[in-house]
Amino acid sequence: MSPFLAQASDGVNGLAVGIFALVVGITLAITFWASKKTTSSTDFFTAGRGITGRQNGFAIAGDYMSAASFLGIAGLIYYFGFDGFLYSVGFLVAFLTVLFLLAERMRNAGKFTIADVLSHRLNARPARAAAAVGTLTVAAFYLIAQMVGAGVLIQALMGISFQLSVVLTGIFMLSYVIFGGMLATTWVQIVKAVMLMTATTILTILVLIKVGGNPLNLFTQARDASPEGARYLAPGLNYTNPIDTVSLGLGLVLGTAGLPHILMRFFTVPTAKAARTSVVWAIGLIGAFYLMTTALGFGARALIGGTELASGIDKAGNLAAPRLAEFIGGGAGTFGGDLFLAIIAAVAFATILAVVAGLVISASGAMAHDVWNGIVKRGTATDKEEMWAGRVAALIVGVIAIVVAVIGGEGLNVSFMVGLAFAVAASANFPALLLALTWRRFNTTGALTGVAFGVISAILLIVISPGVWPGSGGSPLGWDLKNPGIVSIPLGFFGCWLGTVLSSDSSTQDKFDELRVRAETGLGAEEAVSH
Amino acid sequence: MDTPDTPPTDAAPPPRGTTPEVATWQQVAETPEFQELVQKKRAWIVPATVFFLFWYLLFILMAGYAEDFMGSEFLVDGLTVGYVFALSQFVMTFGLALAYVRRSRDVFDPLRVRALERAAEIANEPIAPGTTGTAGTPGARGTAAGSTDPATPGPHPTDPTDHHEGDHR
Repeated sequence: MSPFLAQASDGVNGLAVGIFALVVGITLAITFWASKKTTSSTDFFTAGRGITGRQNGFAIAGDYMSAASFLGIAGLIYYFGFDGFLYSVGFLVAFLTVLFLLAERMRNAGKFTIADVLSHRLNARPARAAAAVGTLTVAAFYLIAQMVGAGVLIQALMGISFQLSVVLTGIFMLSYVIFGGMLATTWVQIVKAVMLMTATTILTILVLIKVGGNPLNLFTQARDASPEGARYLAPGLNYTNPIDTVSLGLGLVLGTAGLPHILMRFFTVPTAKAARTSVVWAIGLIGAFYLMTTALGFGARALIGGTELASGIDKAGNLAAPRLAEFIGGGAGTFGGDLFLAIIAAVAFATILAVVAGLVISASGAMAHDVWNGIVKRGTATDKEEMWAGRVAALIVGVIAIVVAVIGGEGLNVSFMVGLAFAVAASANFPALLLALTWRRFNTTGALTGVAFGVISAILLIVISPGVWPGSGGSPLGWDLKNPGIVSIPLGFFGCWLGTVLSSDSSTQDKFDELRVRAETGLGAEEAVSH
Repeated sequence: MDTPDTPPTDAAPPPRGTTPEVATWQQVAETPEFQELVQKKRAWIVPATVFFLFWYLLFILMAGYAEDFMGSEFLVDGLTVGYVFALSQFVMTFGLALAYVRRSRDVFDPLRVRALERAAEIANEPIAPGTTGTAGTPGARGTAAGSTDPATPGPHPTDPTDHHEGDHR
């Protein structure tokens, strides 16, 4: 057992708890401030559409860069070198899809949810049902994955139990969303993005100094420290099946454009131009961050080496970055080492909080705005009722996520659920949204069959994938793709096409013009509220 | 569920005076100004999207099928072809994002302002019955609707996106 893990299991890390408390204090102060400004459903779901482009860019970055990115990718790069970096590339390039195809159109044609965009041209209630299924599936699996990840990490970094970690995370997440709505969520995400970028930049600079200032030294030293040698800088260590690599890449690059908590962020800015600006800021921040994950993963490999981290407890390498920070600060047991470790732990905690809050509010939008008001009440709810429905929905979603994470426990397969979230986003949400915006012939039946094909094929292919059946000789059906995207994304598009051509419904073709004019010009777009 | 022309069940009514009727949406869509906006955007976005997907998928395919080539040394010790290819994806993403912003500012935004001005004219001019609909709008609420009611303010004549923002650098 490594000194680090010994320390964690010895008891509560006081320094980490202190810095955690500071982070929590700041975010609760933000929530208190935001709660007084949240007086309508537009405030609750979109922060009154008063977030500037730059702020939203930071918030998107904060919403997107999960603990899986920060700790997970650093760990994957630590273990697999090049194959870990594949994720970084996909996660970034994905934002071109968002920028070119969706950001401005979402802002122009949407109100609170993805379904708002679809319902301009499709029959509103079935379209809302389809979009809500896609949104809630993605948000639920992603949320549970993040909660389980949070429990494991906080347990390791702070020394408190898994269950308590999950419950604490859940309580803070629900406080932000229920009391402070989107305004509090946005600022928690901005604070997190600033903390994460600052900490990562400082660590990267210190790593580069340690290896002699030349980034190339990082590559050679990491390679030489790796048991894989030259293969560490080549593909193939993690993904041995090329089709799987392609499938992963497709899922990443199209899945991001179907993540409801990311798309929802475009409703918080006053204009389409601000939506565009925010993606460019997000690309800058996220790109810089993912470049630096290389320094973290290679740094851990070059400076700490292979032995300490390769314990059975940390197979995913999630502790590569914290261990690196501890080493850079002076090593285990020194004040500097403890301080750096505590800071990275606090950053990881803030990272988790910002992401789960964003997920909860997007799920709340789908439940309150689409299912309750749009489908059950047929749009008759008042503004105040809808805001309170949003709060109740957030509570329901949050409590379910906490309970599932606690019951499922540490054994719950996190990568399965994250993979599923991206696969459903890419295979169900993205095809329906893209075709609604671009294909005149598309109709309600097409949206329903497309979402059904996408959701069902993604779930089935993940359930039979080898990652879900460890140790039992792989998948029972002999299916050996870890990532379903290469099959489920085409199936999602196929479902959209099939439902459309089988249906005689052509009424939505007329309304295609409405959605197109709205989406391209912003005519009739929701306006920002002024306080 | 496929009954045509289901009234929208949106939670809130659209903002006052900014929503033309169906026939007017179609009229706006058929203006040369709007057509030019859509065509210019398509002419930029489609090739750009095809390019970035191609470059990214090529990278992924080579990572899958050309492991040895991707792992071979590139000019200096420590750098591999694969890493240079990966870094080129970062450069491409930054470059295309900035190019899109520039293109939007110089070309798409002015075209959008013109399309909106044209839409405002349409909303304010009386529409003779029979001239509104293109073929295929039976049952649309459009024919007599237009926006002939002078009490109904037309769509915003100015680009709504020109307010609020000063931070797009």
